Amino acid sequence: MLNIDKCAYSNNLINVHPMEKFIFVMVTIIVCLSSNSIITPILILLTVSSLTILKAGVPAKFYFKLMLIPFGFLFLGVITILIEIHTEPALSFSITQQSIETASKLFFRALGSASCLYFFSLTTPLVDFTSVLKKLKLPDILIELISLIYRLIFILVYIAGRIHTAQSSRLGYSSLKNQFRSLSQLVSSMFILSYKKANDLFISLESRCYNGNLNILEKQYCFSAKNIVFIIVIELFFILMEFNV
Amino acid sequence: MHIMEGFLPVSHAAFWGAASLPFFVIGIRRINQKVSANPRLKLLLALAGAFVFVLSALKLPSVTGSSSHPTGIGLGAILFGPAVMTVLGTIALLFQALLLAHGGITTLGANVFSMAIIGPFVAYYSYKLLSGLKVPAGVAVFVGASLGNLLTYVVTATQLSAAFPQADGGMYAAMLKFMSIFALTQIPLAISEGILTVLIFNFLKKYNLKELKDLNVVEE
Repeated sequence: MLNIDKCAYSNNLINVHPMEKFIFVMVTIIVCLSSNSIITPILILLTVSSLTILKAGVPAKFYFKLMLIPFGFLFLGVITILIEIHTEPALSFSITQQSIETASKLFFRALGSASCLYFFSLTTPLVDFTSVLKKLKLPDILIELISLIYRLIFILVYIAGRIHTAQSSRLGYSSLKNQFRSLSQLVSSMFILSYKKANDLFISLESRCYNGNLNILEKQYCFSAKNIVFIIVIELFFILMEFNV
Repeated sequence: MHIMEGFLPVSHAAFWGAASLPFFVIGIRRINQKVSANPRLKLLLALAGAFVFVLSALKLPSVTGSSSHPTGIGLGAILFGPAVMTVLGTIALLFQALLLAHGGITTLGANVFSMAIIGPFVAYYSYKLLSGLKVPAGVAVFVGASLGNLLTYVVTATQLSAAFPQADGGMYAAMLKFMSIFALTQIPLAISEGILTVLIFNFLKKYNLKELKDLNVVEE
């Protein structure tokens, strides 16, 4: 289930400064979203996808599978914009030149931005992302909650997975009625187990002099001039393409 | 339903981000107050956040075999209170975008507004109202959870039609389109989420009454 997380730790760009990746991704997404042409988003989609696959070494098959996740939403959304509905004089549907243009622009803009998001999430572990948030001066409690929740997710996924296996091996998901029953039992036992875990965690922390702060050493990164120049050049390229077309 | 990354224009994304911000700040303040009074709550809240995230990653029972996920909004709001849910829901949405590729960073504000603000508030207050009227607890939970889910989708449809109004007929025509298309998928989902939440709630009440009473500390 958490394959993206695994990839984030095992790619070739793990040693690049997370702030560089964050700035690159945010600027590219903004350029992509503000673009009015169809060329810039396609260029961004191609560039960022090839960066993810070739440079970061994310398996291509896995990457394309990920791209398919938002497709259900994208498909429905684009179709809805493509087809225009009229209620007067009678109920009728139409596709116009303008709606085709809007829908196709939207399609590539969304895919281009999604590729940027994937680039970030596939190359940056969440621990590094919290260090970016810290530099952006977000409230301490928020960052602490994010890092705690991140660690606890794996415990809960493990618990839920084991219960699910036990239930399915006893035909717990064989009919719709059973599905509802099993799933609600799973969630309620997950709730009580996680409640217990939270208490245990607090006791173990308190016995180690916990006073409300978790102080963790962060991995140190260096900015690389090469990467910064690359980011500036490629963003200028995208922006120039936008104005040329 | 998550609005995917890049689907909203920059101005709309910024607008929904700004609209969500005050609720988020209030939620953070409230959490800060509670945590400084009782440090144990911090871990409980973190566990609640992880719980909401894992809940939203589970598959909802369905006959057709399509993979749809419960939002967990109703359950979370009833258990932990709406203001706290705003912050936990925002973190869960962020994780969904980064770890599961559902939703996005630029559309985070819009998704937070529908799923972590409107959904929980509607679910929580309709549940409170109905239980105040002495309606059976099962009905109150069902109505709260399914209304929370439905309203979430109405807000999402509104956000999309505000971003993409039809050339003639404007936002109203666009609204008609988005509502009717997403109604097909969302109304059955809202009902099954309602049923599921009632079942979960019954199990919790049967076996974990003490913890539910403890949680009232978290709520108000």
